[in-house]
Amino acid sequence: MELLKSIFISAAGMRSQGQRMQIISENVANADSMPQSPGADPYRRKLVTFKNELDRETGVKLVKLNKISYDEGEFKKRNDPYHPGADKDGYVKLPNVNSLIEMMDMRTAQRSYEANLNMVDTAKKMMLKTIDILRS
Amino acid sequence: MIDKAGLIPGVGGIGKAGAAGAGAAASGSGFGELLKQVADEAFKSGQGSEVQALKAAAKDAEIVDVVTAVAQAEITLQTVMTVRDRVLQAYQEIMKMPI
Repeated sequence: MELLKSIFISAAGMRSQGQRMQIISENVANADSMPQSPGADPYRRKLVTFKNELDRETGVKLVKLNKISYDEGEFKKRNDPYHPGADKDGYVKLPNVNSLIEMMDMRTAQRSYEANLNMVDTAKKMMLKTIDILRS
Repeated sequence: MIDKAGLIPGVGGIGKAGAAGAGAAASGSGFGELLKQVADEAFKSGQGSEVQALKAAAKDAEIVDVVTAVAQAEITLQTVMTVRDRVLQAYQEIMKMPI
């Protein structure tokens, strides 16, 4: 049934946005994860991309998360000579996480989740209304 | 959630009752067969929702899967209930007919 499939598709969207939220939380939480030793790198920002995948059981295209990739952008440096991760010049590398960008990503994920939620709600209501015709 | 043993004999009963009524034999067994199929499906999706709920309790399933499984079970159950009510109503109307 098409409306059940539609619920199924929206659920896949919600699941993907949930996984995206997980990655964004990791980025936000690790925004201050500095290197542990002078040669090491700090936390590298993770990137989420989506792909569509045919579900053979139902024959619909569902949204899935691609393999997680990493932001290859430059690390900023800060002068902090007493940090355990500071190099010989006294600079320590900072994670390439920009909290403003993460906030925007979070909002996008939230809106997309809500859109899918509304799809599920509407599809369910449509089906129940159709069944209601039988009653009268 | 759905008592299979309780539902399906009832469905068979309707089919038989329809067969007993003269003239309504063909449509009666058709209804019975239809109801049996729908009840089977409802039973299956009810089972699916239970499995998902148990998995969620064990923190093994995502809440999204539970919601879809329960929604599916609810819709199937609603369909079965409505069709059953409708068939019973039709049957009772026939029984009330003066001969």
